[in-house]
Amino acid sequence: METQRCPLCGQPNPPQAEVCQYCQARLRPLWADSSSAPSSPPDNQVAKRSLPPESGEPLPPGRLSGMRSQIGTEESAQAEHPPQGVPPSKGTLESEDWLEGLFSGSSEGQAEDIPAWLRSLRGDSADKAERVEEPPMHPLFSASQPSVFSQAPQSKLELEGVSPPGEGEIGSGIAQEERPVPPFEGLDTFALEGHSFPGEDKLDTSTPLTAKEASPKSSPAAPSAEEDWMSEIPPWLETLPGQEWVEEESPEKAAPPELLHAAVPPFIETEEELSEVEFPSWLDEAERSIEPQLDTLIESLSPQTTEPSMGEKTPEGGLPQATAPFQEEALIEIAGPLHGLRGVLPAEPLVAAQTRPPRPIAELLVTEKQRAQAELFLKLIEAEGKPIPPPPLKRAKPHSFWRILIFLVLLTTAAVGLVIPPFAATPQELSVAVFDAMQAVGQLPGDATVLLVVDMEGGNFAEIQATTNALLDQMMIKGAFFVLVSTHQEGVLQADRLLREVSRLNGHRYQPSSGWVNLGYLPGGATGIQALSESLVELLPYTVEGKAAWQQDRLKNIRSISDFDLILVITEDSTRARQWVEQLNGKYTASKLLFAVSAQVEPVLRPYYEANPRQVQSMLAGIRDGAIYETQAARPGWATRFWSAYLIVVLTGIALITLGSLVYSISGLGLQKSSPREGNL
Amino acid sequence: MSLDFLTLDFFGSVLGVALTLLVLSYLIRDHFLLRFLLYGYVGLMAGFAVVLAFNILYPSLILPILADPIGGITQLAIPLALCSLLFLKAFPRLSPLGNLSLAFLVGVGLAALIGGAIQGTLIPQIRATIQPFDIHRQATATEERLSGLVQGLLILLGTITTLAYFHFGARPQVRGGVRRAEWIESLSRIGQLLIAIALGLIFAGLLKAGFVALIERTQALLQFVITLQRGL
Repeated sequence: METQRCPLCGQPNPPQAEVCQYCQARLRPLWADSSSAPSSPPDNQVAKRSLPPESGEPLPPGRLSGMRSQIGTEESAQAEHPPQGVPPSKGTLESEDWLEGLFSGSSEGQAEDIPAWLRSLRGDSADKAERVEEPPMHPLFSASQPSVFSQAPQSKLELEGVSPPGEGEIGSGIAQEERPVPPFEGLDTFALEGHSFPGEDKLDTSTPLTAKEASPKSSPAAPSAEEDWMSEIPPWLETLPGQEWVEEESPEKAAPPELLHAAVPPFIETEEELSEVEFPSWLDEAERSIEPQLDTLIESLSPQTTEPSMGEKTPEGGLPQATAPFQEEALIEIAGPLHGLRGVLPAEPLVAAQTRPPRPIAELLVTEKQRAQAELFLKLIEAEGKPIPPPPLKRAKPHSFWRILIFLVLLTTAAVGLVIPPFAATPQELSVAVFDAMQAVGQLPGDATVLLVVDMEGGNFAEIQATTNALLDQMMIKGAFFVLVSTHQEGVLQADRLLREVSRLNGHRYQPSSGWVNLGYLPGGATGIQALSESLVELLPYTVEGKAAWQQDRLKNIRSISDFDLILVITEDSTRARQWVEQLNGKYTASKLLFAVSAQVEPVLRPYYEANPRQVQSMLAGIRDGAIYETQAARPGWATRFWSAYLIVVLTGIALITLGSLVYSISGLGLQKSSPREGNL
Repeated sequence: MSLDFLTLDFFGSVLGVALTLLVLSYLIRDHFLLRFLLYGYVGLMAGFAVVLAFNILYPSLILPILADPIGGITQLAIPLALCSLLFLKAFPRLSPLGNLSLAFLVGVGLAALIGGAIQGTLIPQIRATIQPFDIHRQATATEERLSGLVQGLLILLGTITTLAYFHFGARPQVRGGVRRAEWIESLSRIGQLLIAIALGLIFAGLLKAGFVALIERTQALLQFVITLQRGL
């Protein structure tokens, strides 16, 4: 089965298809190509080579002008070279064939389809009787014949959305009102094919013409095919205005029919020539009558109403203005063999033409909403290029007032607790930890050597001093010799200070060298502690003063960490406390390991103390254990002195925390009730 | 002119009170005197660190070499080489050579930490958790045995729930999101409560230490005022 391929996408399509099944491109042009229809009658060639009507120009398209020029060439050729004895040129022969096809009617089958009026033109006597009975119809008004009007182009006014004068009423107008029919020169016969005339259905072909119209013109006897059509003008045509040309024309046998002269306007190439063309009077009248209405209509239309989409009809019934680009696309060929012709069919469908839509259409198609969105989009694009200043930082509002107020309250309570006589007795109950510590200290020999590890900063000195005062005091009473070491840089100084303070407050005469040696800083953290537990003497051979530490009399017997009678770790850092426990585990007897720590270390250290077996012999945590120790040892010191102030400050702190929590909770509930949705967002 | 002890003590007290007031003035606002004080403290500690470093390096590294150069260098070749490579970290081009010393330090430090944690904390604490359930090793008295059992149960519950809180083996749910198993979630809630209590205890200890420091400073201020009243 023969198929036809789409010129756009190349896909095969059925031969009868007019539109591609794949890309919807038109497979056959709207106007049949002469090359594709060689058997079509010659009279159709004019129309087939025509373009869609151009509303902007009342003149025929350029190719018809070319045809006219061709005809003119034939005329000139005939004028210069008489036809007798001279073989006609090719163009002349073509035009004769073209006309012969119209008038000869050699085919029998075609003769049956030829209307009566045409046969009368051809001088067919057999049809004269029918012509009398049945008034000949002009092919323009014939329904069976592809008439000129049946394929009449959209005139200029029609393309602009205004019906041409007499549209749809042409036939009836002729028959009923006997209104003069416009001459042929006003008809765009060159662009009739493919367009159905709006008023075609109203053509009344059965309406008899007047007697004058019905009576045939005197026809010459046995006219030739060329001169017959000129002499046998239908009667109805004689009544038309502009029939003068029929009488004035002196028909030349070889000349093209005057009908084509009228239908084909002169060859026009420039705008100046276009302006010199005289339009028929009826067209001017119609244009003048409609022009005010057009102006009113255009002015009344809003921009949106003037932007109908392609193919839509305006409410007024006119064609949309979207046909304007289609009209503009009938361009003049500027190259090739068709140079100068207007409206030449493109080699490929128009849908494939990569043409840029005209700007006015693009602008008109933008609605107000789209325009607003486009402006917003442009603003966004412009805003992206601009540097955005960082938002001002919201600095936390300093609660100076509340901080000062809380500080003053606590300071006042502390001062009151220190000034007033003790209102609360020191804790008397003996805790297990304090008992174990006292027992460990009590078991020290007279010349005990104690490794004192002080890992603390200056800020916690007061608490540590209150905690360890009684413990160190008891050791000093026992005459213990202290070996100071610290894994904290500041601890080296704090250890020396602590011993000085305890000695001073409790009336001891402990001095460096005689009472203690300071080995200084132990670097390495956990690694240093492990090294200390394995090789004490090699790791710290000198004191902070640069003296040989292990050459002293009290330290001659010390070679490893297990030689100490007691190890007391004083720290306020839970990590360091844990490291000491871990690194000394298994390398030193747990019964000789004591911890005096800050209250914040107690939760971490207590599992080591309460484990079974214990990893820590005893643990004094905070000022409370220090106060208990002082009480049990009957040696009141810092803890006892601070105890009353400590209690009142702690109670005040608890009260402030509770009050603040209540206020915060109430205010939070109030804020949540005031803006419940903000919270969800 | 020589200053006696009381005069030095008095000036020391004045300096202490002045520094205390400067630190307390931070409650109002930050000012240059307070910053001067803080920077001075930092500089003081840095200088002291240099002194400490010298006190460590001199007797351990320099003095043996000075005493016996050949024997000292032979003995301290590896530490000296590692220290020299560590100094190269100050030069960007040669700093990669110092990674050897850092790797040695990190490796030894981690080994000490992990080994100490396992031997000093993990195993003893596991043993301590199991110990209350060893009835034969408990006291013979029934009351003490029951008390130990209850205490062991509480410790076991606290240990399991705390470990459950740190269990992150969650699975994606049908409704979306990721959630742990329900029973682990329930245990983790109890563990979360126990952790909150432990952290509360630590915070309370920290607060108490701060209160004691405040009391000590207040007492120093009062003592200074009393001294001024008596002296003047």
